[in-house]
Amino acid sequence: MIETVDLSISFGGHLAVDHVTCAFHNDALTAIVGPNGAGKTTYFNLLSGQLRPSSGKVVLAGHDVTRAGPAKRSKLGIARGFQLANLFPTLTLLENVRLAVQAHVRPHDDFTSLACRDTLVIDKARACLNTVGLLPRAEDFPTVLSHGGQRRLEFALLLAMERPIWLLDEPTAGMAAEEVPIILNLIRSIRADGARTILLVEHKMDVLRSLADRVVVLHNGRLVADGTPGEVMRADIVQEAYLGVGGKAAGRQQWA
Amino acid sequence: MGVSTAAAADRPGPTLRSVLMQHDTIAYLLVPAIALLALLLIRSMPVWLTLTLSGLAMGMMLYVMASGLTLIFGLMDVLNLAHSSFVTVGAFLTATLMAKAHGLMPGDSLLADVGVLLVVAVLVMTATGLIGLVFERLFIKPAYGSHNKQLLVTMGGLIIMEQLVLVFWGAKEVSLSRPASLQGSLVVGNFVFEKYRLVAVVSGLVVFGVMRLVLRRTKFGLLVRAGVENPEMVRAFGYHARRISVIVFAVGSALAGLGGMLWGLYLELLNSQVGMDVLVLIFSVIIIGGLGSIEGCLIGALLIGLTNVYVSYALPKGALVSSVVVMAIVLLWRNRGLLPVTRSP
Amino acid sequence: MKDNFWLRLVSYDLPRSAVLGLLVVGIAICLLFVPVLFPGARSLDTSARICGFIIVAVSYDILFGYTGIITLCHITFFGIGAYAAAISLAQFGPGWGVLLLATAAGICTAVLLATLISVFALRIRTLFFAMFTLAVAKSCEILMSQLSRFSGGDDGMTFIPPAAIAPSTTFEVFGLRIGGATLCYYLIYALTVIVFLAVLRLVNSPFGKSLQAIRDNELRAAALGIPTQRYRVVAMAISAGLAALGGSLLSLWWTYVNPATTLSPNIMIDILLMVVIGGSGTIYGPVVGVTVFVIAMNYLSEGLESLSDSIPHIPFVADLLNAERWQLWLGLLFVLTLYYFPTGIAGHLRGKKRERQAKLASLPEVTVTR
Repeated sequence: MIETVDLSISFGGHLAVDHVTCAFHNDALTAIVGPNGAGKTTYFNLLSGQLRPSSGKVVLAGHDVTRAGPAKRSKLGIARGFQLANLFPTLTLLENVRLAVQAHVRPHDDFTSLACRDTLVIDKARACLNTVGLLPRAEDFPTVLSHGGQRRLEFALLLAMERPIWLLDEPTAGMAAEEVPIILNLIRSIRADGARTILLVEHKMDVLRSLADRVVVLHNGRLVADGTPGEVMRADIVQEAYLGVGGKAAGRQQWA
Repeated sequence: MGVSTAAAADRPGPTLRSVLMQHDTIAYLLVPAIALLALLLIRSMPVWLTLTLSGLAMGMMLYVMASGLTLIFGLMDVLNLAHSSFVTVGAFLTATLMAKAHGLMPGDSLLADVGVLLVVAVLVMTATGLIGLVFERLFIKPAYGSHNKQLLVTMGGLIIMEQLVLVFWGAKEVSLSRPASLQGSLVVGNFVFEKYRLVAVVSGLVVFGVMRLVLRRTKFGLLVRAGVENPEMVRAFGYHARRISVIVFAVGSALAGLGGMLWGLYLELLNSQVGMDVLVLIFSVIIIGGLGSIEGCLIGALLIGLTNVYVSYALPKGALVSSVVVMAIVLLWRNRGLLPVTRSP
Repeated sequence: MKDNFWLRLVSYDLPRSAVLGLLVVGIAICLLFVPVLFPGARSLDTSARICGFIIVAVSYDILFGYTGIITLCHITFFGIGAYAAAISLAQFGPGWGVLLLATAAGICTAVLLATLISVFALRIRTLFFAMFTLAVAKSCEILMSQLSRFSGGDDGMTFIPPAAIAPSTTFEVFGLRIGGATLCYYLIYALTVIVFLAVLRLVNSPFGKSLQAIRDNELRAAALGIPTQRYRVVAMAISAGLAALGGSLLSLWWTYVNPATTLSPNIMIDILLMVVIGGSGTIYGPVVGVTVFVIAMNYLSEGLESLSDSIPHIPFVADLLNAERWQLWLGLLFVLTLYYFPTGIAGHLRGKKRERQAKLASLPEVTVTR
């Protein structure tokens, strides 16, 4: 479980996230929506530790992690996906995933063992690659993959981390149309095992309707609505927030 | 600035505390604070005045050498390691030109001497500026965008330029004498001022004034400042970001050449390492000042100049170490330097 | 992968290019047999220098190639090692105990200084860090040249190494005359091989792979739970310690140290050139780079001299071809390397193989079965 209390951050006087109090519990997929610049990615960065808030606090699994860095928060349970799917371009796919497995299976500093002979880590990494269908390409470099392929690789990394809390930032953005269902199926499959708290930033309404248990709307850094997808879509304030960028949102849908 | 006065009228007046709390004010106060501290420690007015003047002179010369690099660094995100070789070239060119112009300076006519120096300065700056254009084309442009590659390529450029200086001017030390009317010292009561140090301070102030004026009052300056703060914006306006970069690089190199001239006339004896020897000081100045800001560069240069002189008065061996210590303290306090230009995200 | 002694020796990290492998093995064999194949003080001196700088360059590659940190004070750690050995042996007399303690002290000092520098300076931007470390390197050089009571100042200091490896001693073993210099050379050679293999092991350990992750994408690495800041500091410390070891060994060979050859930023530039020309981030590359560079340094000036003797005297051209201007040609060579072989010798040799692999890899993507 992860929770923010009165969380704010300002950049040069502009409040990008404005006193957001919100808790995310286990076994639910929460979609975070809002127009561009509403503070969704900034909110994610505050949750996973890339940014430190100006005020308020972040509580992760009972610990106050407001001042902790991303590595610490990852150890406490966060798996974070980014908008840019660039991973570790000079390492092979298998090595990429191995790093993620290694980070939690072998938590102690290890200067002398051979990473490429650690069968436990390698087997887990191969299993994760297999789940996303990239096992046949384990020895390739991520740079030769398509954008969708890189997204799948990121997914394999997140799986390999075995964390209870997932933060996914627009996992289907910029992806070829035929690749989108693959990612959505992967998200469904991890939601189906019921043990994870999943937070998802997404623009596509149809995706939200079919996936989300709960929708949280951010607008100008403030939390303006929170509820089931049906409730939230009907709320006046959401209509208003989206009307301002209605054309753009529609455009996005078409373009995707 | 003028724009904010109307808004400020509504607010309660600034208290001393609020003014001091603004980090910029503290940054500006650092230089007088250090000079004052030195006065308390030295406790001899004539010594202190002499030291302070030579510290200010050194600081001003450092400012001229470093200001070009900080603009290039800020605007183009390029760290030109070979900046120091423009200093070397400037110093050696000055030596050659001054030797040629020897007949034009009849002796104790201050006007003639200053005139000759000004002409030499213009020639040196033109030459180093042109070399800068060629250098940019050969070494900077091909490595644009990759920090590692830039650092290495400019390091190669540094080696090549240094060796070319040796090819043109030979490996022997070259001596360079100041014009007659700028040699010696002025004596005012108890105080002794070396004349050339006054010249250095005045030249530095003039360069600073001109740079500030150009950056604040001209369209080109506005574009440069906009480019430092937000490289995307200039491109969005449709101006040729590339052309601005090239001009700034050439101007920065010319300033390094001018700095080399001032520094060479100060040293009076040149070897091919003159630039390399001040490179570390130039870097300290830029790091302390913060990226892309000429005001920060001036503060950094004066801080380094003064601490160098004061420390070497007390501990002759500690001068360079003192600038590393100053730099480390500033970085601990603010890891982006004293007055970095705030970049929009 | 097959499991055998040789694979384990190189930590399963093969040169991945036949030519590169041949080069490295060839260098190792040549260096091993130098005292037999090319007898003479000069060739032995060149080889000892190659060995010593292989330690320095390989340790620098941990930072520059694998972690993506550009420091310009690696030479300072080398100098600390060299001066630690020199000052102790000069003060307490030649002895193996003194030498061991001095080397250990040098390594510890270097590790401490590296930790200090990185703990509070690695927070700053890459280029600021490069400038800051250059300032540290320069001030250490000047400090050492001014502490003339300990270090002999600019003139440097000579000292006597333990008798067995001193240049003046000779042994009679089975009727063969072996000089102390030869023994000293083999000590350096053995430690070079050990350091090379140990670093190869280090970069293939989970720690080494994490360093590569930090270099490739720091944001991601931190999100995976890798403590990026701490790992960088540790990498700096390890690398500094190895550089200090290299410094101790080379000073034993020279029996002389001075600031210009052990602490000057000019040598730092040489180290960077070696690593980049050889190919950073490969460990094998720097070995080739050091060899090429040291041989070029020793013989380029001679080549230039014979070239300028063989052509008619033209004033400006003669200056360009002056034997003292060998660095000019080295600089040009370096810049051309950067433009046309940006990944260095090793990267270029490996690249050809990788291109072939990439072609094989461009098969249609598999679809997910779930």
